[in-house]
Amino acid sequence: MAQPKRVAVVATGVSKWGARPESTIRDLIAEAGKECFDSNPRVKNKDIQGLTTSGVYPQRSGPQCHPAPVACEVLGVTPRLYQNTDCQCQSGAVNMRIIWSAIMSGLIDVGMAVGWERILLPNHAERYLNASLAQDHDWEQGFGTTPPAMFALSALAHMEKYGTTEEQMSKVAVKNHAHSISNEAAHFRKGLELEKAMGARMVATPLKLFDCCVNTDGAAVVVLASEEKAKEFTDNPMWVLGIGQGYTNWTIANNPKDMTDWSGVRISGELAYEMAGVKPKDVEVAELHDCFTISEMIEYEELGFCERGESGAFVDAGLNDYGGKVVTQPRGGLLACGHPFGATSIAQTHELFLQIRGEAGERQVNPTPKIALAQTMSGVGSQSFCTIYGGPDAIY
Amino acid sequence: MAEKMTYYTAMDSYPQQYEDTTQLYKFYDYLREGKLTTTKCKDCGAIHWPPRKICPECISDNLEWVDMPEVGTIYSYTVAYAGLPPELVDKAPIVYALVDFDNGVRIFSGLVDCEPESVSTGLKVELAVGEVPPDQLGRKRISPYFKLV
Repeated sequence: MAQPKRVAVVATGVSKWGARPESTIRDLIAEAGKECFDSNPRVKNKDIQGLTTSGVYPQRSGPQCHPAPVACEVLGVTPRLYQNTDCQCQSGAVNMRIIWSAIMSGLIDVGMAVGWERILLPNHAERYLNASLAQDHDWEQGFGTTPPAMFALSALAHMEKYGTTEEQMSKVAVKNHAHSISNEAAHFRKGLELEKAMGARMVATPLKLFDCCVNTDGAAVVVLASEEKAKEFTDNPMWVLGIGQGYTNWTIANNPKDMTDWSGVRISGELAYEMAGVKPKDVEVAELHDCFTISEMIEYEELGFCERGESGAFVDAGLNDYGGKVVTQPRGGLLACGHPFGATSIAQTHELFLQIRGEAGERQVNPTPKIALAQTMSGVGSQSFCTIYGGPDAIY
Repeated sequence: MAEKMTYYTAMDSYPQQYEDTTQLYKFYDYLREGKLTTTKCKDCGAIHWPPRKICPECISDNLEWVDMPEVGTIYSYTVAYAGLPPELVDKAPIVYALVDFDNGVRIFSGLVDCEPESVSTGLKVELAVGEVPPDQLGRKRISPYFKLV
């Protein structure tokens, strides 16, 4: 049997994230695409054989259907494999998996995943509609809920079952806002005091303003390559060691009965760990889906960084930060970078590429990490994607 | 385009409720009578939520409508002050809850006619039918909410 193929990340880039009313979809793709090509001058647009895009709302925010060839035209790529994909907040990871699968199967040797969102539409009704569309149209969307109210249900359940506190949740936000100060691409870069987080206005009890990430305009791009091509492009590739996707349910009514049980996240992690042949204790840096502070905390538990119910103590002990057990959200996470759905997973990959190559500057994890984990999620813990990356010398 | 545009379903967050727009219209027929129902599989016995056209357990289409228990229990809830649609902004805060029934079904919906501070987990609730915006043909639409018993 032939040796399994290996896939590496060889170039990455992100646009400036934030409120970007001056930028069209084409502008955002151009900005992140140039950053990506500039990150590795050996990778040329003519090398790209597959180009896939992830954008959740192009048909509302362009409006634009069939955006993959738009990106091809903007970036001068003539691919033999292209498509758009939408998997809500997991879109960027699923996008990269299309390129990964195409390389693994031998369809292509080099491919690019382009993700973006242009989501800050000009009026409340439009922004509300975007936020509500990820609920089931026929049975849950019409009640008027958006993600904060849905995740609040898990937050209260975690507080009642395990004694988790609002202060512990706020500490997660404070950590992530501290990390983003050195991240020029982040939406928020001013840091955050614990008192300010604790005193912020309520969004959906018990979640306050800084417990919630914001919708953000932005883009991110990554180039993946087969082992042979990767070695031509760079001496410092970041290897994709394992991927996994979990699903338990769609409507929130059908979540596991215990709302602190995020099996979708757990399954995605177990599959990725198994493929990568690594354990939770091996992970030195992690980019998790902190759409809300409680999300990041339950993810510590489901991905094995701490025991079930102990994420509050994990936060209090600082084990989730520099000098702790695993550095989480070095770029600032969704809470401080913002959340352009189609780009988020790809930007996580960009950050881990910098970290694993020792190029993350002020926020570099030391010693330079060898094993990194990225995780993104749709639904309240019910649908999740996990990817484990390894440094240039990773063996698998 | 100078005229204000209208959309059929793409901009409509509320469910279709009549025989010419959904095959599960009986749910709303019963709801108009003040009854909360769901589907049950006559082959394998599974009780579903939300109501189904086919059973997700055994893929049978031999289903029947059954009454939900009259009283449920709040498992978790939230009081939402923001992130609400334009038609609810002036009515904020809105209470949302996950409600458990003793037939194994859990339903997510709004909790109406209550003071937010009077809500807690474990309290009993019952059906409260509320009106939502009319459909594209101007027909009345309703939604299943809950109120404290």
